[in-house]
Order: sequence, then C-alpha cells, then structure tokens
Amino acid sequence: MSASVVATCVGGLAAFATARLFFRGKGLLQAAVAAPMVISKVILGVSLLVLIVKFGVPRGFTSLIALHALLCLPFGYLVVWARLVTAGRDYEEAALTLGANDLETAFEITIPLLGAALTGSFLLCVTVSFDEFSATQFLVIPQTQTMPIQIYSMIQTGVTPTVNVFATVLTIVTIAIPLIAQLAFGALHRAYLRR
Amino acid sequence: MSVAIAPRPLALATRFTTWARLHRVGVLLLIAPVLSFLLLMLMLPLASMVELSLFKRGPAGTIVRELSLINYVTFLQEPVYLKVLINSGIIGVLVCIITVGLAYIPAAALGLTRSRFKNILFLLILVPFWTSFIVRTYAWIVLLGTNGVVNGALRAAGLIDTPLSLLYSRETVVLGLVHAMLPFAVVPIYASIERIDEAILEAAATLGARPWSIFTEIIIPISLPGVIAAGILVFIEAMGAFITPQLLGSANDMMIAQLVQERFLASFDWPFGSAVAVIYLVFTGVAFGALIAVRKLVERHVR
Repeated sequence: MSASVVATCVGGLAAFATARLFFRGKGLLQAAVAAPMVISKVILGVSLLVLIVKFGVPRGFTSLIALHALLCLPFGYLVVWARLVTAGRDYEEAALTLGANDLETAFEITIPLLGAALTGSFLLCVTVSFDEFSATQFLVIPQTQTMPIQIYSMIQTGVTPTVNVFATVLTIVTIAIPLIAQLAFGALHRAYLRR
Repeated sequence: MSVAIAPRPLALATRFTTWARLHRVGVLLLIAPVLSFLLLMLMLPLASMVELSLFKRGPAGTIVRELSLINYVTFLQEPVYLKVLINSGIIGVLVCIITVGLAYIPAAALGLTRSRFKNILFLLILVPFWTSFIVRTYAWIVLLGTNGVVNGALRAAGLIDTPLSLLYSRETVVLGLVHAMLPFAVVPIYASIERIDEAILEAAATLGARPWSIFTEIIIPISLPGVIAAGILVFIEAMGAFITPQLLGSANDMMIAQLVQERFLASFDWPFGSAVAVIYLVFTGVAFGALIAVRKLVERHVR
C-alpha cells in the first residue's frame, strides 16, 4: 500500500514533467522509468539484495516497500502520462489566460483533471504489489510474508486442497478490489455530478 | 474598452517569460524525486551487482574481494550454463512468435468492430492482469498433472490407460508463458489497429478492394509497428520469466532467471549469480534498445 502511494506520487510528478515540459535527456528519463517493467523481476530483487547487504541494511518492511515502489513506478507513470497526453493542455492554458497563477492552475485544474488517472494508477500499483513474487522472494523474511510467497511455498509440497482454497480466495480478492473500486468511484462521480 | 483589454496579453507575456526563467528550476524540482529514486533503487543496486560479479566466491558462501573475470569465463566456457542462456533464448523466441500470432486475431477484431460490447470485450482481455500470476500458473498444474483434469477426462473417455506426463517439459513452459503474455501482446496491437482511419478502409472498398486484400495490404502494414513492439515486449518478458519455468518446467530446461535465483538462494554463490544477471542484462539491454527504436519509428509513422 505505501509502496503504491510512493509510486503514484513519484511517477505522477515525472509524468507531468515529461508530458508537459521539454528538456534535454527526456527520452533517457522515460526509458529509465520504464526499465523496471522490462528488466526481469528476479534481477531487480537480486540487485537490491546485493545493495542492502553491502551497506548492512537488514531485510525488512522498509526495503520491501522500496522494492515494490520500484516495481510499481512504471505503471504509475504510464497511466498518468497517458491521461495528460490525451487531455491536452487547453484547460490549463484557459486558466492561465484567465489570470490564475501556476500553483492555482496545478491544484484547481491539473490535479482534479487527473483524479481518475491517479486513482487508476494507485489501484494498478496495489494489484502489482499484491501479486509480486519473483523479486519479493529475495527480500522477504518470515515477518513480511506476502500471499504469493505463501502460496508458492505451499505449491512446492504438491497439489493439496488447502492450496486450492488459498488460490481461490486470492483470485476472488484480486478481481474484487479493482471492480469494487471502479463501482465506488463511478457512484461517487455520479453523486458529484448530480450536486 | 481597449484600454481594459490591452494589459491582459502583456501580463500574460510577462508571466510566460518568468515561467521560462523558472523553467529549469521547475523541471529539476519535478524530476528530482524520480531521478533520485531511480538512482538509489535501480542504478546503485545494478552497479553494486556488477561490482560483485567481478569478485570470487570463497569457502562457505563468503566473498573474496579481488577483481577478476573468472565468473564470466566460467559461464562462457561451461556448456551447462551456455545451455541455460540458449534455452531461455529459444523459449523467448517461441513464446514471442506464438503469442503475437494468437494476439493478432482478438486485437484486430476488437480494433475493427463497432459492436457496443467493445469495451466489455476489451475489459475481458484485461481481467487476467488482475488475477494472481502464481495462481494462474498453478492452475496449469491442476489441469495437466497426472491426476489432473485433462488426464482424468482422457481416462474417463477411455482414450488412455496410464496418465500422460504433460507437465514439466519445455512445451508446458511455452504454453504457460503464452497464456501469461497474451494480454501484454493484445494491447499494443489493438492500439495500432484502432488508430486506422476508417475512411482509408472505405476508400479501399469503394475502389474495389476485396476484404482479404484490404486486410493484407492496409491493416497488416499499418499495424506492423504495434506488432513489432508487442513482439519485443513479449520476448524480453518471456526470457526473464521465473515463476512459469520454475513451476511448470523440468530441471533440464532451466532458464536464466532460475539460474540466478538458484545461485543466490540455494548455492549461495552470489558473485557467479551476479555475473549471470549481468549477462542477462546485456541481452535485455539490446532488446530494450530495439524497443525504443521501434517506438520512435511508430511515433514518426503516426505524425
């Protein structure tokens, strides 16, 4: 969860910068942000493990959250970036022309405009983080067991009814979270429009 | 009245100049979080992994801190390790071709349809994204195992007496990966077909082109960049896969991510594991460079 917040915020800012402004090295930054999505999760997990062992940081919640934030970053970035590109900058320019300053424009136009995208980005990050196994296995300790890790170690011992129950529950939960969020968000939006 | 309006553009112009001056600072402030995050979480770990790959493994998993290329030499000389790399490459290519071929059909159908169920159908393709990857892979064990659904059905139908061993082969790994990557491939292809201007298709039809030649001469060429992007994406993902080969593959068909994991968590040879990871990264780097090049091509194509 906290990993998702970090990824959404950091990714969102980066998305705004790359979608709205022009600067040198922009392409390079975009490639770097997308990199965690393309590099094998095993490698990402291993490299972080090497780093924290090198500096004597214990494996625990903090390092796990940092890892998940890294894994979620490209997703958070892409969702917000796509929204910014399709929305165009007409509204922001209108606000600026009507005398709002940059900060007012950001808070009253850009961020509300991005509401859905930021929520979507957050939910996507939650799903990614909830499901991650390949990188997590390197940083996990018994106190920070996640669902996929639990299931994996159960599968190692063979097909049992317990695994099937666990898997079924996990599937229902991972489908239900975005679905409920979607419905709730739609209802809220409609209530807002009616007001 | 003209007096009242005149200051407006002027004020705006002034604001834009200040803004331009602040531009550099603003850009820095906006990208500082992501830059420092990537530096700390991506570059630094990878750099320390490269460093570790140049060391040697001491007795009982300790690390001897003297520089050498011994790990790379071992990897390139031992057929066992090269086989892992080649096996990963073969599986990557197979999965890439099959997935893109299979994904093209629903992507084209969705991109060209005017059905009102289009959004629902598209959502259905994305649903697998939400379900747990490990559970989806596990489902193949339930289906294909010796006491699994498929063997049960075949036995009940009287087609076989002894259960077939369907699991733990290279084919099963390819099957599992194709299943996992399919949504990944549909999205870019769909995006490239969706963008096709309907006027072009209508013009071709009016000029007497048959549906088949419209498909081969207009739709396929236009969607080609999307297809290439999807192919590279699937290839990279499939090559670095861990869960699927680990759960569905055999020990003879080890893939590169498994080798890395085994060196780190089972045999505690971290320097060698790091070297394998670096070799894999070089492979991925080349493929990723190609992906970026293709995306640039696509962007130019659209404009």
